[in-house]
Amino acid sequence: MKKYLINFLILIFLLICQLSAAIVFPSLKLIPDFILIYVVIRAVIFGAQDAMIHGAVGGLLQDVFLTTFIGLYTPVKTAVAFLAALLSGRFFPENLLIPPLAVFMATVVHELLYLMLKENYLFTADYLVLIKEIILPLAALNALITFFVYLIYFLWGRWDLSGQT
Amino acid sequence: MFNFNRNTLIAAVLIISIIIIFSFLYFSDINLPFVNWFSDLIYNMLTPVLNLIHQFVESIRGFFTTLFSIDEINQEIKDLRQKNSVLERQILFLENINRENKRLRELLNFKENVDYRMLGAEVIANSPSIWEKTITINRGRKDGLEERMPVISYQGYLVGRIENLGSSSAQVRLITDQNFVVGGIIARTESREIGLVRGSGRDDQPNLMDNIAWDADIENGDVVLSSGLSNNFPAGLKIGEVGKIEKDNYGLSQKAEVNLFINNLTLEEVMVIQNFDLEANNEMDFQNNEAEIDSNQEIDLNEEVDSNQESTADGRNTEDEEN
Repeated sequence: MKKYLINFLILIFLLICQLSAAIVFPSLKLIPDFILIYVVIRAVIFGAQDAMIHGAVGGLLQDVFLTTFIGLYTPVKTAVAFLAALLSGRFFPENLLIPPLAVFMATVVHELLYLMLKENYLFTADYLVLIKEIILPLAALNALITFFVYLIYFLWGRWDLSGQT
Repeated sequence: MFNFNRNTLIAAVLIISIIIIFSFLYFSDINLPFVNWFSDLIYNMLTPVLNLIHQFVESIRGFFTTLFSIDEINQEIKDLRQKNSVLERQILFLENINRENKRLRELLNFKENVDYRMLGAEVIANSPSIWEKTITINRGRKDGLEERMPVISYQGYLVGRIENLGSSSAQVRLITDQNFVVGGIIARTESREIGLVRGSGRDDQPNLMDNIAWDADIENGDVVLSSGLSNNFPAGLKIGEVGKIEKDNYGLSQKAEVNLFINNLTLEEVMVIQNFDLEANNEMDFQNNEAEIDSNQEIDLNEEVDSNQESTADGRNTEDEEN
């Protein structure tokens, strides 16, 4: 229970960062999806069950700031968490490029799923332009952040292990 | 290939079922008090934190701005004081014209010009999604805001409308959002063409004004205002400037790009128009009548004093000249 509470607080903190990023840095064109990054990293490390719960809660928190309650982010984030968990346990932790790659792919799938479920974008959007101008830069930004976050997590794990021995 | 254990599958089925049930409730517009209460709880818990962060960031930014630009600020204060005194004189002059205008309108039975009741608000958060263009402001139900109230910038440009309300915060759907539609009218003496201004969903791209008549007189650079034909927005709010114009619907109508004025601004502070319909404004006018009469009397007295002083000064001048 304590674990879930801490993770819930982390998700809230990430949401606040996401909401405040453009206020603190008004010239930012793209705001990274911190919640998606967190959920995908959890999916890759801890597996589907954990990631889906966090995906659903993270999506729900995001939806509260867009609609009245459950919107599109809740199912989309849960689905992306499930897909990202397919990588869980299938790579060596030393391989620092796998989590950023997973986040890159997850961002592309996440945004495309969202657009396809969004009524006003579904038939009117020029997908090629959106992919080129928004989705790919956002995916690259998310992947870059993931690389540093995972690097810190990895080094912290190593340091923790060496401290124990 | 991928082995999920039994617990994972049960959790997946449970989560998906819950989401499907809630989505069904959401799409079928069934209001569950518990759901609304829970949503409001999260929203109202988070917005004070956002407000605090905003204040903290603003105070730090203000501190450093003051620290590094003290000379410029002093010069600006000096300039602003001069401007202020000029503007005060102009206000007095315009008040007289306003009174005269009102009196003449009454004589001609003209309808009263809209006088908005507005509330200033600060932007405390942006949208959590790149596809939804919304902002969160630090005013809510407690401050008398209601859903669908129009929001403008301090320069008078249309920013959006209130979508969801919390107790002390509100979400504003911006004019750039894809779901946003507002009636627009061309503001040129020779042309009063109307159309619908739709959000592009992108901050870096112009909005689109469509449903313009095929033979409409519309030119590049024309200013677009809100038409006020619907009851959602008052007339005359500045939206943007017409850019590229194209034929639409195989020549049956026209469409034009509208370069929004708010794209040139950083939205930090906005104003919510709380009251713009004529009836409500008339009621407000009745309530304010007494105050206006009092202020008018005060101004009249001031004018009398001024004119007396001027006449005495003139008298002195003529005496001097005679001497």
